[in-house]
Amino acid sequence: MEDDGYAGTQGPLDCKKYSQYCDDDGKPLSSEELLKMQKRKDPKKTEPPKPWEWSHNFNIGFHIGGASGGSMPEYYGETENSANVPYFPGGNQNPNVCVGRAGALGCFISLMTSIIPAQYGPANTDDNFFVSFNVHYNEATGVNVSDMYWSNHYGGAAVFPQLTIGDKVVPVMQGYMPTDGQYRPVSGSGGWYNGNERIEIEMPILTLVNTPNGTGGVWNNLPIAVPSLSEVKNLFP
Amino acid sequence: MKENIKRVLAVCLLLITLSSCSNRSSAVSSSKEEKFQTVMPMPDMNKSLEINVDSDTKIFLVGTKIPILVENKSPHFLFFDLADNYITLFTTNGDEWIEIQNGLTYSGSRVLSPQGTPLLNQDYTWARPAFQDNTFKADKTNMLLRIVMTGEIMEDDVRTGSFVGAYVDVYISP
Repeated sequence: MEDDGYAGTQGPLDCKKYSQYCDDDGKPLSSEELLKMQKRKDPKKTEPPKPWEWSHNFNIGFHIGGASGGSMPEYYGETENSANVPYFPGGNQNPNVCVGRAGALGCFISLMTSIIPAQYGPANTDDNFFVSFNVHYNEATGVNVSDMYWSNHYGGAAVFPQLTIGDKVVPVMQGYMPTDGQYRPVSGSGGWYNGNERIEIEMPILTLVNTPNGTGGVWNNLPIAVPSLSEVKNLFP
Repeated sequence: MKENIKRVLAVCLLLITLSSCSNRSSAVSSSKEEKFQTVMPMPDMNKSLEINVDSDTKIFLVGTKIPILVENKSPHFLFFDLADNYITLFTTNGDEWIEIQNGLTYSGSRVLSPQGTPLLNQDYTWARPAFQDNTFKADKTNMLLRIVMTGEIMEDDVRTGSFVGAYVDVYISP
């Protein structure tokens, strides 16, 4: 019997009616050819490659002042500490620590805080501030900075009026910054950035200091730069 | 020999130009200042409010953020609507003042306490002029940038509709 794919009960296929199951000469396709056609119609769905992602929560402490040798940022993370952060006083000074995954988080911190000047407070200030935030890197969508807050562990009067994050100037708090507690920006500090360049965050804090001329305010600008997507992808491929 | 003299003269001319650029903080002519008062008519300019740049220099590379220190010198609370006329930027073209877009976006509001309130009468902010790409192509010299800040006087926690302002001049280098 001629194999027209439907042989048996229905009789020969009407190629005028079902031309899609027939060849160019008007002859029914064989079972084998029909199966091939079916395979062509239903190719195996291939999952698109997932974009590279990486996220982390940071809690960075800033010690202002030189008296206790603390004029550097210190990192208080879950698994890393300043000893693992290259290029910082007391940290690992070997640049090779940035090669490979072992030191990647430390290298990330190093990149993030590399724009902090060596000394950014007069010797008679002894303030401690913390900034905490999440960063989420996604190759497809960019970099997201979220859940940002600050705390003042100094105990003295300090004012933290506003900050920049990328191209945004965002108010943080009105009035004095009390000790402890969490102080969040009023709005707009989070959001997605394209990640092509580092995201600069500047946090000016005004503190009271005693000088020979009396009490005065001193601005301390604490900048960090969230590394670009390509920089982080190199660290955490 | 003539070539050497020409080179020396060229270097001298360059040095004179550069030195005149760096000392142009008060180089705005009186006619320009008069015009500026028509652009920003504010009798209280630079009296109740004072702004300065937080930098050792007044020359900034194009594209950089300019840090600004703000101080309330008045006996009033001052209100700042950060989303509306908080900071305005101008440059000059001849005797004309031309407004320049600010590359930064601001949100929220601020209140500065009266003079004499420790810390709370000060603020810190930034400006970044968004010059068009071809701004410096014809003229490679530094451009004057006038950063103007506007605040509103408050009486008993109520905005009065009376404004105070301050400006500081800096130079933008290509």
